[in-house]
Amino acid sequence: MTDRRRINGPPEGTTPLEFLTGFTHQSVIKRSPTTLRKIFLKTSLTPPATGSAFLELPTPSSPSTPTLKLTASVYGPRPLPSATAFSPNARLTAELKFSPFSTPGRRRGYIRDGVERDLSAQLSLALVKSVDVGKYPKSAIDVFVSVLDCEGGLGDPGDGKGGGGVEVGLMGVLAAAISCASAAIADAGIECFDLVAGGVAGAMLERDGDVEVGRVGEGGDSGGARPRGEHARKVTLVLDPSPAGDYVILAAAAVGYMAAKDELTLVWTKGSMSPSSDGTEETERLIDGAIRAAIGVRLVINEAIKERWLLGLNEIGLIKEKGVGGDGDTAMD
Amino acid sequence: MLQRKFAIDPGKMDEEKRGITLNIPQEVKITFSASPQKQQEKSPADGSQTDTSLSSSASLHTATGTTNQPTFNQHPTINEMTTVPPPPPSSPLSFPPATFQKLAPKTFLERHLQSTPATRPSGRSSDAFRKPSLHTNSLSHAHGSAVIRTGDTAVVCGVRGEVLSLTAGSGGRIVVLRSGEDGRRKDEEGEGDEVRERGLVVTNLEMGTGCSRDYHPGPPTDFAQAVTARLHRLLLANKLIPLRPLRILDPNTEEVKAYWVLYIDVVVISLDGNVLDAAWASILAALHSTKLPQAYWDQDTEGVICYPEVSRYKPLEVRGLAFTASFAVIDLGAEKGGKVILSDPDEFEEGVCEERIMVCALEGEKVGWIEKGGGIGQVAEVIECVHRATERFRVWEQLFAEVLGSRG
Repeated sequence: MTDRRRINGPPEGTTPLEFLTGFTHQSVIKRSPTTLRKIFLKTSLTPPATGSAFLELPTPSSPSTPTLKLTASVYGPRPLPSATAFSPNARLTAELKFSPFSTPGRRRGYIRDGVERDLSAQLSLALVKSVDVGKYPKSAIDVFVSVLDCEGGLGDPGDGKGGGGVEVGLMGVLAAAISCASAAIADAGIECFDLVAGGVAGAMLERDGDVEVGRVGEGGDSGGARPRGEHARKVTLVLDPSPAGDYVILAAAAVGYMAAKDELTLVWTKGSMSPSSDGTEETERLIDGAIRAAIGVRLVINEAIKERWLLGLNEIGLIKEKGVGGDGDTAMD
Repeated sequence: MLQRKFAIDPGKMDEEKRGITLNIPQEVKITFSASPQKQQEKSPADGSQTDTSLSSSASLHTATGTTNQPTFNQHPTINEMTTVPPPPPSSPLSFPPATFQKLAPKTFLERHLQSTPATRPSGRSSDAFRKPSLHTNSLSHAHGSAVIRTGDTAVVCGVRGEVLSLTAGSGGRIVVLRSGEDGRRKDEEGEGDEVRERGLVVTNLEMGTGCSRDYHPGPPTDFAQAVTARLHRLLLANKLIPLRPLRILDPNTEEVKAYWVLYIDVVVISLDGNVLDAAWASILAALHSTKLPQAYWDQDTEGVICYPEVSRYKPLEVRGLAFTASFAVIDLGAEKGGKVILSDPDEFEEGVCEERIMVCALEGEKVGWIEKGGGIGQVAEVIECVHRATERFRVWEQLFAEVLGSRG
């Protein structure tokens, strides 16, 4: 399908790069399974928008490590277009778009694909329950998320990541988009019941007390199924798994979690999960892990919102403090 | 606090208003108070109190009764808008500057420019550009990238190379090129053509990212397409991209077997006017920071293979620098100061001014491209813009030298 409204490449088509040997990102920051990576979150970086936020993970980033960078901007509440039917509540729409240069492998086109539509739908579902939509009748609240850079593991062909296990890239993008968009909604001053934070957890194979590196091949199974000899291995719960790492993730869960109300707005799991030997449901453990990750992320959102709020108070002269709103580095361990 | 008061008669308001209905009793004196935020501490001279009250003589009284000058007085500063003071009894109806700006955008801008010294609503003088900032190579999957921010306009540009192979059967398009494959002189002449004919540079600008209220996701607007076309034209016209690094050779025969195609994608993160200058600078910075992997034609697989080692990545030898500078022109009328050229217009000014000038300045105080439209003007106007563009070139040049370092 050619896009007549944009400048396209040569009509013969171009091919993505082929490298001599397998192209892998080696430098992944070593951390314990329950440590989250540092997040940079700052609000109000798109001044024309009602509210906006920028999220970067991990931070500080090194050039050799792929990072996740995304911006969210919120417009509204603004009147619904006149053609639409009456709505007693605000209508929240979310649009998530990958930039053409954001993903590894093939360049992404500008036309929205199925993956983006799916993530957009999930994002709006995750956010809408946190916003007090009843306060804004006949209004629209539009959330736009642009992914500028992502860590890969999206399940695209030519992604350069083979082996068994499930891909957690999309989960990471969705969780970060939820957190960033929620911060942007708060920045816009839209009334909310609570903030939503996104968290991801994965079950990884462990060997010698270390998360296993390499592919799971010996079982002859594929697509996240258990290899044989599982009893000899331990499965470890890892919070905030990095898609760039060379681990094998057997199953993963992403949640949108409202910490103050203790409610989930979104659950998404991947991979096969089974009742484990000690009687606890693995599904439950995974989701609990994702919630723990989301609670950690929530602290960062809180800090970013607090900083924005103090800055606003400072601006209108209600408080006169020095040092408020420094470099905006709300990082956490 | 002293404030300058601007008054408009309702007849003029009717011309100015854009779909906003005002129900104002006819003889009420409407006084708009607009004070540029940078100037508040200054006490305006006696002359700036231009209180042109209305000449309408109808004597309708307002519903509020006692006085015929209702008071909706608010402090003009946005910062103090949350603390509404009790209105003084006999002051005229006045609006905060933000309301005035929405009701009568052109008058708002004109009054700002007529004050002494002439100041734009943003606090800049008419020939001041916004200060740019630049970061390069912050994206992990692009071969070169840059983030440019000028004021509230922010753009991200990513350059990514893909391979166009010329193997038999996978094309079928005959391209007649004037340049030969050998001989440096011929190369220099025909390079622009080959890049153009083959479509080796693909420029696109994406504005549907929530960067501004008016742009929605989906197909690009006419404006976005127009800017894209201009950026693409400028890039080819200035011949900044050399052809030689884009060729992929067969190591044995030194024959051109494939080309690199550079996909240049500009994503606008935040839009507050003058997207062209910011997008152009981001493209140039991204191209300057681009490093392509070393690639060769592999006869066995009939394909192009790249070396994965980062140390073997080669920078694209971009030739020189060129920077655009955009201007908006507003005509205040002969008796009020004539035409005013505004450098680096923001979103509001772009919406008001119709006349535009764009100058692309090159190294050595040369000019590569001039575009002007939307008004009738003297050549002196354009010459003034060229001077300003040359000044602006130095600012960009210095920034590029700082960020890109010795490579620039």
